[in-house]
Amino acid sequence: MTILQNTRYFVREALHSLWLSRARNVLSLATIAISLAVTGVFLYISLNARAIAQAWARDIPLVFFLRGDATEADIGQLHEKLESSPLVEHAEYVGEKEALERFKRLYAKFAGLATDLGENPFPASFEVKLRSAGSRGAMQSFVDEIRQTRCVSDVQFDEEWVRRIDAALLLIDMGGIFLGGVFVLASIFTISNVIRLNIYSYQEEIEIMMLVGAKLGFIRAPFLIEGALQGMLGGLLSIGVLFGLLRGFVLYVAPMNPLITSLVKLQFLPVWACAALVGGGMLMGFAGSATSVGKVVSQA
Amino acid sequence: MVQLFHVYKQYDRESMALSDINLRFDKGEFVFVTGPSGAGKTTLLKMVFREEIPSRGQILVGGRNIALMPLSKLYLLRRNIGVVFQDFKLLKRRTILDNICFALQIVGCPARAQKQRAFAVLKMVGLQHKMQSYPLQLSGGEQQRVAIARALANEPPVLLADEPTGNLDPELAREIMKLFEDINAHGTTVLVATHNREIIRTMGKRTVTLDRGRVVDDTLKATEAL
Repeated sequence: MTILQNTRYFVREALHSLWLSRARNVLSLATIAISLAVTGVFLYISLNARAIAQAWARDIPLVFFLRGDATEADIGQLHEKLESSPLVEHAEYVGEKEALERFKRLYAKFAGLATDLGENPFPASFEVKLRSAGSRGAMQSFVDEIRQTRCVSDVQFDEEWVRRIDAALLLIDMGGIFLGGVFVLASIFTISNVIRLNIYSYQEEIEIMMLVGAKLGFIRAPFLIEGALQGMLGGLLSIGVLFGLLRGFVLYVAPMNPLITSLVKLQFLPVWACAALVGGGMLMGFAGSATSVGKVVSQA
Repeated sequence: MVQLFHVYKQYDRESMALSDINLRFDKGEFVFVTGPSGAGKTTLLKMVFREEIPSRGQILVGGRNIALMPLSKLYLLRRNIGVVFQDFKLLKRRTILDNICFALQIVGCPARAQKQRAFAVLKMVGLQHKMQSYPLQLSGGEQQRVAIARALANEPPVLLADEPTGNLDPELAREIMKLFEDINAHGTTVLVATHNREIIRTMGKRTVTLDRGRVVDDTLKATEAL
């Protein structure tokens, strides 16, 4: 009963303060929205780049060549092992004969070369189609594990290509974290100062509340909620800004460069990312408010 | 209930607001603190509910040394002391009913009980008909009565009043003093700072007289000496 009553009071006071200092609050709302939108842009680029990388990774050739003395049992066991990996979409066995046929078909000009050798130079192999890029570490340890198998003689895997994709994604992520971090700190600083000014306009009330026996938490709660509400509104605003930017990009920028649209179908941020932006905004608002409210209330 | 041991208060180098105050106010006592302007009456009261901290000395309220009380625990002291401030200290954007309900809300009183109690104390001070008014719509005397009603709302064991009749006409001043006397009769310790000699004389209670920060007279000690 009291908790409900107090919560209602805290929210009402927070909304009152938001409205009372609306001009100031617009400043912190804008700062939060911009910082979250910047973070959102990087998140958006990162998620889409990851989708592109995953699509490309499916086409990275991964072939396990088998030893000439591999038994049927070895081949069966390896096939089972490959198919059971979460990284593998499917693994196709290519026998020695089939490999030779394929060579003759693909390189008809050199078909005689293989015949001249007198024996089939092509080993049997497993051609693996990957499900997704996965992490570089996971991919490498999977390849290494299979390489250790007794019947495997060699592996064809473009590690450099995977490393480059990984590096590019890391660069995007780091850029997002750095720029997002700078903007987030700027937002917390702005909210902290805006809330501090709001608190000063309530100085007399805070003093009276303390004199009649209000707990510090009771005095601070409305300001913390106000900060969190500012953050939430900023987060929602940032999603709006991002949506507008993406619409503008899809409608006006993408048609000028068909490569962009041909690479991958651009997707807006998923629900979890939107929720993270709003939640992050609330956390920023709360943190910004908390840095001011403790100090100012204690001074009252 | 309230004990002061060798309490000093100095705001600046030149003047001592309070000097070597040793006083004891027992549970259920009614005490007037009097003296000329600047004698230290308000400072003494402020010390008791720790709006001011002594420069030297100790103050015990209910056996607790309040000078050592951390800020986070101060509410425990203040919920047990009703204070009628000289400048009223009412929340200007709230109605007078809300001002009193608020003092009850912070101690966890349910909403319905808050309104009932607030109405009852407003009735005690004769302002129930103005419960929806805002402080600035009331006269000084009316605001004073609202401050008294708020101080009484929680039924605190100690009541401090700083010049509670300063803005009231003699008739109303007597009524307020009667109200304090009734509260005191129920066991509440009442400390009233006033320079109204007439009221002190009429009430015939213990009187502590201050002058330039020192206790120059205490009728209790005079009685004990006899």
